[in-house]
Amino acid sequence: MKTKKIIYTCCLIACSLCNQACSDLLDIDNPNKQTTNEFWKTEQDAQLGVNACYAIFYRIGSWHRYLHWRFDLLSDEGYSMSPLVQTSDWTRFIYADYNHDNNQTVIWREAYRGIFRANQVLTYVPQIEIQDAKKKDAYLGQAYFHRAYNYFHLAILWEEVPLVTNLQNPGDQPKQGTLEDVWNLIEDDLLLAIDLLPEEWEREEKGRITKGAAKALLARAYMQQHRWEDAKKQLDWLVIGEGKKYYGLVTNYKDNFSHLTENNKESVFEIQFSDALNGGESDEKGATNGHQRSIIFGLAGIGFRDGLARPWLLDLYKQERTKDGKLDPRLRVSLLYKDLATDFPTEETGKFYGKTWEEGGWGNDVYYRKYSRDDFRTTEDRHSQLNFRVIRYADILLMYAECLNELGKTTDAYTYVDLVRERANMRPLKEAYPNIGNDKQKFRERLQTERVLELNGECVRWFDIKRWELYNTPQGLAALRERDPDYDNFIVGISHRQPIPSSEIVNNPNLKQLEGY
Amino acid sequence: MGQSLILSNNVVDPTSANTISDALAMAPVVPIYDSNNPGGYGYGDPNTNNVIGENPIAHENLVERKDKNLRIRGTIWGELAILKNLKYRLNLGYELNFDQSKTLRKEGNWRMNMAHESSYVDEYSGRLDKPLIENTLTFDDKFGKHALNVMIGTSYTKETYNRISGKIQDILQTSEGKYYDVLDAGSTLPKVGGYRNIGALLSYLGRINYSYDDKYILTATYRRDGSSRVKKENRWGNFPSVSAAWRISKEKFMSSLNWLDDLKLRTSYGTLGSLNIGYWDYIPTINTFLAATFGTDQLQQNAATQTNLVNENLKWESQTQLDFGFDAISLNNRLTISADYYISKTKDVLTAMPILLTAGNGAGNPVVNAASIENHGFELNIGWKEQRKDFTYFANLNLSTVKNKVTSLGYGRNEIISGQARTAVGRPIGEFYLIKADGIFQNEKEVQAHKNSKGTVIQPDAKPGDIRYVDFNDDGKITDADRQILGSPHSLFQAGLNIGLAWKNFDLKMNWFMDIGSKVFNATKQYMWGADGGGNGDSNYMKGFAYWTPEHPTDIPRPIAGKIENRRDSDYWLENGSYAKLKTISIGYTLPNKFLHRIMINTCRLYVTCQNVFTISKFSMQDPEYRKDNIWNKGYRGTLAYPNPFAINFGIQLEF
Repeated sequence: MKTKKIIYTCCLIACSLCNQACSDLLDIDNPNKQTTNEFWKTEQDAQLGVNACYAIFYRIGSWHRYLHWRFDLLSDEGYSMSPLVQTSDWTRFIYADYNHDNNQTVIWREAYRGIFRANQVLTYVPQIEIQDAKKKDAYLGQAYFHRAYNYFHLAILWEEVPLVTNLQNPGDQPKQGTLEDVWNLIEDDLLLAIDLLPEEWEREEKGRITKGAAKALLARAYMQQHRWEDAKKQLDWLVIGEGKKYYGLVTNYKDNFSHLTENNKESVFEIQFSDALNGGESDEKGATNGHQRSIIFGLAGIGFRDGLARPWLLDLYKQERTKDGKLDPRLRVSLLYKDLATDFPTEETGKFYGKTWEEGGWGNDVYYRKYSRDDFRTTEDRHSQLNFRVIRYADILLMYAECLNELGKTTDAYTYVDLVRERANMRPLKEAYPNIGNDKQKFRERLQTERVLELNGECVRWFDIKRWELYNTPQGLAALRERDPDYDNFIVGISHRQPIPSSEIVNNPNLKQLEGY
Repeated sequence: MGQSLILSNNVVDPTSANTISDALAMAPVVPIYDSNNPGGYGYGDPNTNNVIGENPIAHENLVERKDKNLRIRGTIWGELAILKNLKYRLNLGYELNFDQSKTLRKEGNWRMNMAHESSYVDEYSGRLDKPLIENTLTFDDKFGKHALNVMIGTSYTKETYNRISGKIQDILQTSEGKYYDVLDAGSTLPKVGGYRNIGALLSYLGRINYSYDDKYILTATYRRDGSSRVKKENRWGNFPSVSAAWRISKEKFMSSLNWLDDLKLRTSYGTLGSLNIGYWDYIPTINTFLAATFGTDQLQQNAATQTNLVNENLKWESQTQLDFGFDAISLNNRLTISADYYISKTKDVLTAMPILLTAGNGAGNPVVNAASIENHGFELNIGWKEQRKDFTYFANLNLSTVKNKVTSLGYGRNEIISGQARTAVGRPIGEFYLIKADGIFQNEKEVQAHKNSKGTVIQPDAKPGDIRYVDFNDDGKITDADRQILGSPHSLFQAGLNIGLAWKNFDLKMNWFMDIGSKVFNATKQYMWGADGGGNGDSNYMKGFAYWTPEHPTDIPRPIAGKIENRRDSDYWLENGSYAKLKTISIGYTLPNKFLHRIMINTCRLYVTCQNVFTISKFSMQDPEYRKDNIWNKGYRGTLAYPNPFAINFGIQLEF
């Protein structure tokens, strides 16, 4: 009996010891990663979180790849020769699969990832103690801008999208907003950002969002809604107001698309790219900080020939000569084509990526040249270091002219168009096109052309087409079709937006597919 | 006391790409080798062969990978008889697993439109330590006709995996092109990485076996399992089960049935748990890998944020099953039959489930308690064995059926669409959800006649030879909204048959398997028949491929370059997934004993085994047995996975 007792006692002790130790045995912290609870405590965390908002630009559905593809090729400027049929069909207003990953889904997904990052900053940073109030303002201002900027792309491409302004649980089903709701959200965020952001950044912080960038984006958003007066007010600051001192046109047009002259005075909002990191396109260690524009739009054999320019751009440039009777110098910066070397015999070597046009076998193709690296490389890769100028001052001046014209101040508008023309050595508008006079409609039409000549290949044409609703008149649609046969598939009332990814519709009862899809 | 030690070493040379798919998809006019391309392999070009298929030979040769794995598993146990009927047993185990992988990427391309990539060596090595401690106390005794066996115990195991990795670019080469495939031979962009995974499982076990006269048998078990992989509140799962059996053949009223050797009626009810998820799937973490470029000097600044969402409230998945069955042995132990009917409810299945993109989640979907499913089915096993002089033979047939129904889905959803399949509450998992194809347009008149109720021509751009689709929602066009449920990926029944024969020193064994009544989506065919660059170029169809032409109308749609109209996810690609196959056949010869005893060998058997001998199936491509591991889209077959290989093994089996 005695032994039994001893055994039982031992067992009891063992059990109780174990019970005590058990919980500890199963408490295992993740040694690899900081938890969300441990983060968002210090100013440094705020800084890292804000930086993460910028890092979304290096992702495939953002400026790393597909935004270039979407905006330039959907517009009448460009078209796709991608062997991936669905992805080239995507630029032809043909949507066979509403869930196709390269098209429907990728930009949508990246935009909401960016919104998630901005929402984290906006949720957590207000609680972090940061001594310098201006710094804290700037963190929050940048996050407001990033959220608005992601919604801007959603508003342009889909219009009626779910409004997510707080952190989501995996099962959340956010409500769909009207286009007006989305514009209101963008407006609210940008007005806050404008108040919080600094007017300029130190040397080592260049590329961060400034007050001017937020005002420019807000003006663009207002203009898409034809709110000309509101837009003009924002632009006033940049063009005639206090902000004017930060901006100007660079002498050499090409400096807007070179890696050697980045963040210059013409830059209003510029995405910073670098080839220092050349990893993949996901959120992994060493992921790329470059972009793929130069390879996807690149010459066949060097690049992928996924995006090309329509030849009407070439013809348009050749319609007007400079003051001294030469071809528009912007032509050779904007386009690559067969006769480039003969058209510009003194400026061009005739070699592109080290090859002549014949050696490359590029035939009658016309390629975008902005952000191409043909002048300093012989190959292409997925890590172009050329900063992408989302909004530059020439665009601001033309936007300002547009607002003035729409507000009936056509005479005033001439000044700003002429500033842009002057840099290209083109005669003043009045001289070159005397019959426009004070005719608002004629001025508007000319301005539309001026914007193409100055801004083609810079991902703004689709915004312009939507703003001017070129497709809503029979003549307008016919002209679009003449310039770009992809518009044969354009259906009025439907094709100005693309279908929402069907997985989103299926999994969210609060979300309806867009009319017509 | 006792001990065991198992040692295994494994070296694998895995394929770098989807070799079979690439081989079939590459246009045949593209040469394998082309010295004009970097690396020297052919792969099409934008002007003459605008294809983006991969050259599989190039891919395999340019990316050399080797994986090694050394595994050592040992256990020591000791048993202490505290009393005559009470035993204590301590079992200590240790598993060590070393894995290593090395990839050498040589310079060169295997696909058109590939960016230049420098050569690199990417190497990792990892080590898994997994100790196990088990304590059990067993009471085992008989009191007259009563037999009682009671066991209680604990089990604890903890696994720790450490990995370090390195990668470096621009690998040193000899003038003949040989690469020095070590990290030291690289010169640019060295990268290091490493991580540690730790998990622990602690269980308390208890079991009571009671039987009376070997006639009435009762068993009750209880497990309490604790895991480190869910949060504290959800850490412990309790999993009891009970079973009862009645050996009816031992009853007096059955004793007259001489032909019946044994008959047992059984029933059981019990729950088991599983937590087959990652180590810390429930903890939201910060991704510190991010970086962004700023400043005049374009320098990188660190960036960090939460990129992936998690479900913090993950809990044990459990399966509760009710089973009725019997085991019978008859005809002098030659015939055995056992049959079961079961109903099981699987609650809180742990798997990733697609979430809304609006949540802003990074790569992959978070694991969630995604579904509860009811299954019920029959299982039947019939065995026969007999010996006649030098000749023995046996045959085992098993048949099983299973029907499933989803009773609830995660996130309170009513349905999930994953690829070509839809899962809805109240219905089986992963039913096909496709546009219905309705034959081929034979002429322009048929195209114009295909209208909806309002008289709209549904496929105005179609040409004769195109697939006619059913406008399910009657809106006058074919879109995603025209999908409907068109068949099930689940089989009616599965059957296995094992047959063995032995005559003197020769033996023969066969293993058959069949799976009947399922439908499968042939994504391989859908892809291969595409006439765009993503598929098979515009010239290369398989031998005998006879697509529709006005002269030779067939039921194969005409190929259209640059359009996907004839490749939509429709039931045109659904096929009968039934198959029967001879999985293995094995012939052996056992050497005569007399000779062997002299050299200290007890038995020596020589054998030849064939695997995946042949398959009987109507499935038009490859082996229908291939399964993609996606519970939401079980019937998807594609895109040309590496097939189950036909293999012949020669072997010697020795016993000392």
